[in-house]
Amino acid sequence: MNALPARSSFSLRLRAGVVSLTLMMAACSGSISGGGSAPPGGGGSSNPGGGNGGSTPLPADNPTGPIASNPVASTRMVRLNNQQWENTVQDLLHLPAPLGLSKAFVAAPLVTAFDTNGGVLTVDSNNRLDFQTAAEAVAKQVAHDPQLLAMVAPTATDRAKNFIQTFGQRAFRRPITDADTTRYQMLFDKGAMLLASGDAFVDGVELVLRALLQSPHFLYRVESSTAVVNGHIPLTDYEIASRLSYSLANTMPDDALFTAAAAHKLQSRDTVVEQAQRLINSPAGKATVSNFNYQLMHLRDYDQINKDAMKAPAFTADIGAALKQEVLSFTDDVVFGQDRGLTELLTAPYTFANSQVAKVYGLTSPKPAAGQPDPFVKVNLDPMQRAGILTQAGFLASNANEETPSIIVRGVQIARDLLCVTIPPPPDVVPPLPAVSPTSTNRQRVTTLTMNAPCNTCHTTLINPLGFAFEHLDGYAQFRAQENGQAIDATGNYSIDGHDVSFNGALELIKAIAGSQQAQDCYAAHLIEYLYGRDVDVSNDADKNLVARAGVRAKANPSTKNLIVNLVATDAFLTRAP
Amino acid sequence: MTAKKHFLSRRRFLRGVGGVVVGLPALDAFQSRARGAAPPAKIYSALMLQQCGLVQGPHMGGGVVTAVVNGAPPETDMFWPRAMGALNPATMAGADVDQATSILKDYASKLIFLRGTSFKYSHLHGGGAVAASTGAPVTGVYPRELPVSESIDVFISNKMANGQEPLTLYAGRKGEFRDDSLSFGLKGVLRVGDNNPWTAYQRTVGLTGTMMADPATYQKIAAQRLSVNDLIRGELKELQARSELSKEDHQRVDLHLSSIRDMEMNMTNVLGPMIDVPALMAINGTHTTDANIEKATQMQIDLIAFAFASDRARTATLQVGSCNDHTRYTVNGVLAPAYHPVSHRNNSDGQGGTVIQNSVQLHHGIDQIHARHFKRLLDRMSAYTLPSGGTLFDSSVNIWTNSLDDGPTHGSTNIPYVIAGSGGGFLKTGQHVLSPGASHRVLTTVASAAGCRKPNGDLVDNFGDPSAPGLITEIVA
Repeated sequence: MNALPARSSFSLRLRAGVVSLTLMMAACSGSISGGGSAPPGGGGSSNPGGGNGGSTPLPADNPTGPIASNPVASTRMVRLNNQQWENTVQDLLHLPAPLGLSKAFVAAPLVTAFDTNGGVLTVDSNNRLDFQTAAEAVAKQVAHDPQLLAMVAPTATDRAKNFIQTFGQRAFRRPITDADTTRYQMLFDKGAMLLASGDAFVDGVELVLRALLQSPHFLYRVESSTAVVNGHIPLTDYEIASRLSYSLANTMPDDALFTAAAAHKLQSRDTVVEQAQRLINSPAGKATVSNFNYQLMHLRDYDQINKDAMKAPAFTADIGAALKQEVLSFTDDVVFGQDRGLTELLTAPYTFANSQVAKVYGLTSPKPAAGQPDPFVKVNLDPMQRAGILTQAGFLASNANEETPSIIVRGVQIARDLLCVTIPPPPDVVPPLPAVSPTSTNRQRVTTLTMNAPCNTCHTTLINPLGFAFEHLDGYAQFRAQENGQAIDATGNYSIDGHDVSFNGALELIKAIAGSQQAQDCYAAHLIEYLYGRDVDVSNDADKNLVARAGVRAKANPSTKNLIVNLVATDAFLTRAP
Repeated sequence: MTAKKHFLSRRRFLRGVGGVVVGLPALDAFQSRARGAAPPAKIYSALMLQQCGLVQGPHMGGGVVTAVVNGAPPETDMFWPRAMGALNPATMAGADVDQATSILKDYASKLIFLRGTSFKYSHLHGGGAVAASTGAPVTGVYPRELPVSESIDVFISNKMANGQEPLTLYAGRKGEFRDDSLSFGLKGVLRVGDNNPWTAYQRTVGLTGTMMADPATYQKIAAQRLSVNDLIRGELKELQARSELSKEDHQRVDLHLSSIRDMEMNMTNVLGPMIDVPALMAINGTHTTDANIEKATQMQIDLIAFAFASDRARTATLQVGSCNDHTRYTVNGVLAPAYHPVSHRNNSDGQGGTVIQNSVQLHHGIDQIHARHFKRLLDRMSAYTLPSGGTLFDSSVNIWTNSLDDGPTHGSTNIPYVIAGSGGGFLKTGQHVLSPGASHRVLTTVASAAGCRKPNGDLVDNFGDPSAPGLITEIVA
């Protein structure tokens, strides 16, 4: 699988998950400012693509209307990622469960922060063979299963043409043209000769299914609109349906979206909002939000948690899966159960635990009998020790070496992923490790290691303080007051929203982050990248303003669901740049 | 059980395309000398990348001395022969037997040990592999750097094999920090390696699930696919003609189009060891476990040699892990801590953590594992006889390199390049050389050994970094 490079280094900067709004700041040389604020007053247009006055000037934002924004240039051919391929085939064929064929596909490259960035995905010989192999398997299964065959090609007058047009429309996610029909009818007619099973209709369907599932109009979301209206290119209803569906449900449009598109209703922003609210509350919508949080919080790293069973018996070999589920249960409760957002994710003094996870926290929870369910239930944690996702066991244990916290790794992850601070790579040659006393604390060791130039440039101000704050919570996710006989020092200072913030311990730091505009902007930027399926480029005024305005909305109404619906109702989402 | 001996050649028509056009007067004596050692028609080339550096002691050429841990004595060189100059197999089997590269002693006369190379534009876990295979300037920021131009495998294939698809392989886990970063298409488009030997094999033979089919069945399948491909090709050409598509979108369509190739129906013999297909099937699904990391790497190596021998690829890359992927090697029968902390000499992914007391020996053991991998590549290539005569290894030039120079510093000023094979006599093998300079010079020299020339017949001297053209003359015959 090939991945196209981003168009510019700025967008690459964002692809690495780094969305500093102060890109002009020399790396590691000063404080981090928060996001800009939106200009007051004004109002958004009532129809996407209409009345926005082109790419400049940007209209003022109306806090109660859609986020005023402009689109930026992006690919017209967003390729389905492997998960989207799997979901789409399942829905296209009305299957009760995914086929699992994408498990054999070549994995997508790690060149973007989120796997929804289909603009960097292409088709090369490796994944063309993957798609070909899978298409042939699916086509054979469907064509030779009478029940499935009746589903995709119901009995009708001119059944072959009807199949091509109705199934083809769903596969291409747009009406089939006459040229499409002719092309696929010709292929259908070759089926009997090429497959020769003895049933010409079955053979025709099998051959057409093979082609439809390998077609660029299936593998890519092709956006063909070109007409410019008021400085933007409005998308067709079907293009909007696909954007909404893949962003919010990670799959093809459902019947309701197709119906709305056919009725030309998706040109109304109110209808878009209605559809978005419906989708985000669906099981697929919830799975999409889980997928976002999974990637944002690097939950895949939890699979590599490997602790000494003698020292930390709660960390069994399969603890990673349980700790991932803890986070997903927690985020699902915050976003959908409580209708809250980032602030709650960072500060809630509770979590969800099964018997395995409860043991990690030292909570009482009897292990269920063999074969009995071991559900994740809401449990309260000590509010003097823990708050939100950063004090949960997975983050603490995965960013640690055995019991010793990785101050630097914890700090880098918080800086980059929650505050969108730009952190350059370490220098080419790392200076020699100095000798340290075995009675040193972890903080003292890291301080000594990074106190001299060039390391101190970044570590002193941007990385270490964030990690120091979590020194009360060790690599086994346990609270500790001392280390090697010395009291834990979890104090520090950090620049948040452009102000120097002092803190003592993780809870004070988390409170400062959760209350900041910078974290809300950063969270909004990640959501934009995930939902829009493209890089966020804050060197571009359009994206810079969109991030800032979305961040303001997020702080004013800390509901992730509300923010998501707002973000897919913008001109930036519903139109293209000329 | 072994696979059938007959396999289908996808690119048989390319035979004879290779070779070197030499027509214009030489500009200097060096060019003349190089032309005098013109390679045979086909040179195959594999690049294997180890991660996390080596145990190679002090940097050569006045470089920084390798860092030490907690006041321990400086690390010594446990990788290279102790003497520079001609490689001596007797010494490699004797006084230097514990040095990691001595595992290659059987090939001493065919090797070049090149030291002192540095990375110019990108470094560390994000950019080290990029620099190792391209030497090119990069875009983007750590750890997602991408080169502005293609990697050596693509460059050679485009020049010498009419764009034949390079074989891009990976061994080990993915999804950690940064994984694929070794092979790049034109303009630096990342090429992703398959890390599953079973599916990689299926893709390589080009007939997923049907490679055992009889010729008549295969003809039938090919005809079906041809009809579908014709339709897909037509749709792509329609898209290609659309003016509203951006340059990047046109590039996307072009890539897709080029991936659709008609299947050739020719049969060809492979004169040498067959792939152990049942073993590939058996490892499917467990190919990224710690227990199977060595076995999976060996299978990928076998596949490279097989793909070359059956003319399915002219070049190949094999990236062994990402360093930060938590792989735990078994060293001398004992499961070691994860490779990355071992390379740092402490239990961390950086400079913190408790000291791993025997980490230098463990890292040396992992270096030896990679040396055995590289030897396996040379052994397998030596076991194939080409239709044109000689062994596959005789018509090859291969690289084993690293994304870092050593573990503790994670530096990039003393990058190792072990080169095996002379490219049909182009390279002066059997020597241990110090030649400080940027990595693109090594790659340029290897590209020349693989037969690449400029349109006027001059040696290629500007791969990767055109701002600093030149070859490493010490290793040219």
